[in-house]
Amino acid sequence: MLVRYAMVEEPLQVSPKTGLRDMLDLLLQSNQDTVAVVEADGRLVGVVGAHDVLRMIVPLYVDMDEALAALIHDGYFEERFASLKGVTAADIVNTQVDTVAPNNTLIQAATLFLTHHRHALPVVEGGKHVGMITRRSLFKRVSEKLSSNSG
Amino acid sequence: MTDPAHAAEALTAVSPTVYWLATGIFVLAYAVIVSEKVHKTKVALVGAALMIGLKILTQHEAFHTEAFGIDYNVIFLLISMMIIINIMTKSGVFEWVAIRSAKVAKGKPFTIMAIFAVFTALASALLDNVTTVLLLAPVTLLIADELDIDPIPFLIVEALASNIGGTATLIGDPPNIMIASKAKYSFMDFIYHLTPVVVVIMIAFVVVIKILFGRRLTVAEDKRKRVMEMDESTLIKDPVLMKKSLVVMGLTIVGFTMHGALHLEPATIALCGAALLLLISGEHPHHILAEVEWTTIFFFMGLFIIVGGVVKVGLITDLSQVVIDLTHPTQESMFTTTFVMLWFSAIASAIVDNIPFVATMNPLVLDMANTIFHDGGHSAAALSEATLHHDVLEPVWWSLALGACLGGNGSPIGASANVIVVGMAEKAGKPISFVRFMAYGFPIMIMTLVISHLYLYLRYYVLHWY
Repeated sequence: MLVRYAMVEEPLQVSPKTGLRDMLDLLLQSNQDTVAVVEADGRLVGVVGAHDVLRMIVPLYVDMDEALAALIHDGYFEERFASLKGVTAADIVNTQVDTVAPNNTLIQAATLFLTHHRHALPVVEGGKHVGMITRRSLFKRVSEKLSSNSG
Repeated sequence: MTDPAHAAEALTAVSPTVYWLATGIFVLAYAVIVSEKVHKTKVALVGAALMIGLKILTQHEAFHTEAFGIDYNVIFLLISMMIIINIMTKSGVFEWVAIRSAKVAKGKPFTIMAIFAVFTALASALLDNVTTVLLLAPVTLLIADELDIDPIPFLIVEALASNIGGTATLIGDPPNIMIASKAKYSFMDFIYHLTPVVVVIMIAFVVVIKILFGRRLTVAEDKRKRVMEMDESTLIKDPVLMKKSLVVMGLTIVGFTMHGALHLEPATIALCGAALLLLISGEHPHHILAEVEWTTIFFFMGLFIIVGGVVKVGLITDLSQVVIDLTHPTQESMFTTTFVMLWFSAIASAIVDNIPFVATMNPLVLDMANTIFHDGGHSAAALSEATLHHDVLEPVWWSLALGACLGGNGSPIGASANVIVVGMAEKAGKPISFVRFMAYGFPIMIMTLVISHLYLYLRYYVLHWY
């Protein structure tokens, strides 16, 4: 099966100027965990997921020495999260994304999910963002196909 | 250019072609290293390959001689200490001590800064400066974050303190390791000659940082409480390994203090410690050895060969003659040489990496000693300890060590610890400009050199306390 048949039905996308709050509301209301950040002309800038928000909250020194996280006071997460009020999609977008083409195979997508630790891959055609394939949409589509084959 | 008195130095009469070829490789290599256009290890290895490939040195000379080749004393001491420190630091003990001391300071920012400065200096005397800074920086950033104060002054103070502390012992800084090997000084020689002045410098340093930063650092009670409530016991991941590594480190230090009496080289002591710790640690050698800084080790190896090449062709002898002509050392006194060495080494060290500088200065001082005491008759690489430790020559070695180690504080590029701190500040979103670092580092460097200058003068020229 090709990627184009296992894409998410209603992919989430926002413009670079969208605020963090609005992005999170969008994510929390859906059952997805990654949003594509797309320019007005359809060009993909990158993606934003929980990973990228966590990046902004977890301090540098914990990266250098994870044991130190145990010493940070309770309430730190909430305080840091609150301080991200003015952050926009453009500020936290991850531009180092792996993308797939609609005509790539499922095994190609699966390899990227696994080896690059991705949860969602933007689907790009002709330089434009056309959709998203997620681990969930991949398994959903394949399971459906297998049940319909045997049924 | 080589005068007859020095003919005994160059093993064979070297043709001008070979002389200039070697000199060219040397100058080009150092120029590229200073420019940082190419990684210094690559340069060192290419330079070494050329020295041997073009037959300026034979491979035997490069690999197996003390006069012209790799100084394995330095190499094995560095590798062995890296192994011990690697295992020891994995245990989390340094971070534990740092948090503990922040609590002893009751979370008061200036007290923490002073304690961390002293801790950095002490640690840096036993570990290398870069590791010390890398260990303490995350804890410093954490505490500054919790106290809601600017971490940058703390990081700068730690970089400066690590360079100062590293000057105190044979193992504290690579220039000292190299000087110890060529001048045949023991661990205890460094304790007798350098530790006292470093202690005085550190006292002055803490006073200076109090003046510079003391007033700016005040923090409210509720934030200080956060530090008091930290549970540092969670930082010790492997108490058994921690105890083993501390015991071995302790034994190794004791071994260092005794190595002169035992007639063993420091590298041997360190090797024994590393081997013992590897054995009892239960760690697979692969993981530990993978973290040895091979880039640094190969840089040293290449550098020794490049310098060996110019020693052999007589360039170093010629340079030492320039030093002799300029500073007039005699068998009775090397007064001017000592103080010129201190300040010149410091300025050079602030601008360029002190390792290539000291690698060149060591054979130069040996050659100078050979000329002054033996009319160039001996082999500079095989001088007796009586000559090497002659009362008149002695201050020159210590001034080289002090200048090369302390000079690193003069600029943000003068020492690796400084570079690390600047890089970290940038990553933390609070970049330190070149000028800002120098505004702190340069005056502090001058202060440390003035103290050193007075010390050298008083100790060797007034009190004659050799």
